[in-house]
Amino acid sequence: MAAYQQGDQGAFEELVRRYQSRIYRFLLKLTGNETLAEDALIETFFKLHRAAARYRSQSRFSPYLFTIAYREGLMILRKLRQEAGTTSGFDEGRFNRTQHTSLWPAGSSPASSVEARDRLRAVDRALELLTDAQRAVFLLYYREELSTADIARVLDTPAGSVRAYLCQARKTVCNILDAWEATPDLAAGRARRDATSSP
Amino acid sequence: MGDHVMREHTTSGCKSHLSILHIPEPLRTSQEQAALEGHLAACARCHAEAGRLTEAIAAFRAEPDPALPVGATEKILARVARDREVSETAANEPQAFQQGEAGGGRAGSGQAVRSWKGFLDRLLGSMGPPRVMFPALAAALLVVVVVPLTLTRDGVREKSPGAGAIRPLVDLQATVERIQPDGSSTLTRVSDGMTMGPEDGLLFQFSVEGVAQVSLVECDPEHHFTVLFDHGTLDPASGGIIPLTDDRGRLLRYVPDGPAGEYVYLAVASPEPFSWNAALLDTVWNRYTDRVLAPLEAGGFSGFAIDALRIRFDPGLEQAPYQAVPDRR
Repeated sequence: MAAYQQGDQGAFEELVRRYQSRIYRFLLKLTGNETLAEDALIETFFKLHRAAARYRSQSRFSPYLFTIAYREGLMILRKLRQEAGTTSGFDEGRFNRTQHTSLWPAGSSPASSVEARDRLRAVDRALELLTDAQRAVFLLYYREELSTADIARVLDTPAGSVRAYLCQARKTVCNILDAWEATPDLAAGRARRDATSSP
Repeated sequence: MGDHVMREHTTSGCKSHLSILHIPEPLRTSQEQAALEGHLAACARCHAEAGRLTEAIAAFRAEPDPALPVGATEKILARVARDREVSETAANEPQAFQQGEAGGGRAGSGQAVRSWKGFLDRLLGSMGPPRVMFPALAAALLVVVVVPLTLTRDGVREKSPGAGAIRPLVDLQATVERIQPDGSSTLTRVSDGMTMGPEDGLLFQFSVEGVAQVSLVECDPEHHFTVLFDHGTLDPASGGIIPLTDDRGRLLRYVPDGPAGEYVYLAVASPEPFSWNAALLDTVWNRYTDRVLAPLEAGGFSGFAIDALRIRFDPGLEQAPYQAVPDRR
């Protein structure tokens, strides 16, 4: 970034190539939509370019870039929700832990939708149920491996709130897994799988 | 088992160690860590849940990266390159105006003339005529340009100060930016009555003569006014055309969000501060429609200078033709 500030235009391309996969990965999980994620990705690097003159080299670059990406992702989601009047991309905070039966998409029972899924899908499903901030925190902590202090800077929120978001996100994942475990068909299916996979 | 998961083992609902639920992360002391691990070793339910969560998060962390959209890198780089180009062009604008004046432009003929003069200067410069030929050639072309300008049909775009002329004069220009599917963008200077679609963004620029308080007002097809830019102080000492930017210095890319129809953008300049209200908006509008450049209020401040651009906006238009609509006047 310092090189780009000095006028080295090749440095910007290097930044794009180095970080675009991480940013896209984050935005894709944040928005839940490939098109939205791509739009936000392009906008993120465009804003980075525009903000180059104001970037201070003493701040760490990665959280700085994720800050832009997070804001772009949120902006696109909010705009879409406003325009559609309904949920496009992920909804905000639909989860109610007392309603496990409502966790699964309409028309698909936990048995049919989860049996073929691995735990990864449980996490993905949990991400859909989180609020934008909780989802961002979970992604930044577990996938992008930012510290809670850095995440606090990205979200512009106190570190205590970050820890709370993280805790809530993990609870949601646990609840999804609990629902999975509590489903008899699933339990039977898993038992069969375990039996066939054991020597 | 990852410690980040173990900390949340109480989500299983175990009542015996509720306090552990509130342990912030990372665990603050080795005693807390030991207490947690001790509990997990003793409580099968918590241990099982922590195990499931650990595996789920491990799978999540190990998930392969999604493939980047095809051409995403190129789109990013093309957009940034285009922006650099626009910025460099904007930075060169003041110099172009100075060249225009040095080439013999009429004193007092207003920005429009100097804009055209600067434009012609650059155009001819790019064509490569010998510099010694330039003044004569430019003068001949200026006649072609200046005469129609000074004979404006309705005076809306009239910049020439007549009797009772108001300082500062203001000139409003706009460029339509369209982002192409490949991420690049095209820029087209707005002509009065041009049609634009929802994918097009308007980039506004002012130029003023004299220090001015400048506002930009939108009048939509339903005659609703919106003050898009309120009282920016534009000092021509800063040089030439001043692009309209937000508080972070970014070019404002404006897209009308109202119904289809004609939008009028009024650049309103005054040497003194003023406050917008409904009555003043109506007054300014009437002055625009009446094409009167006389001061607004006798005894008040010296008045306003106004310049206007008309745009036709079609929200359903995917590919704006970039053609001026027939002049209705």
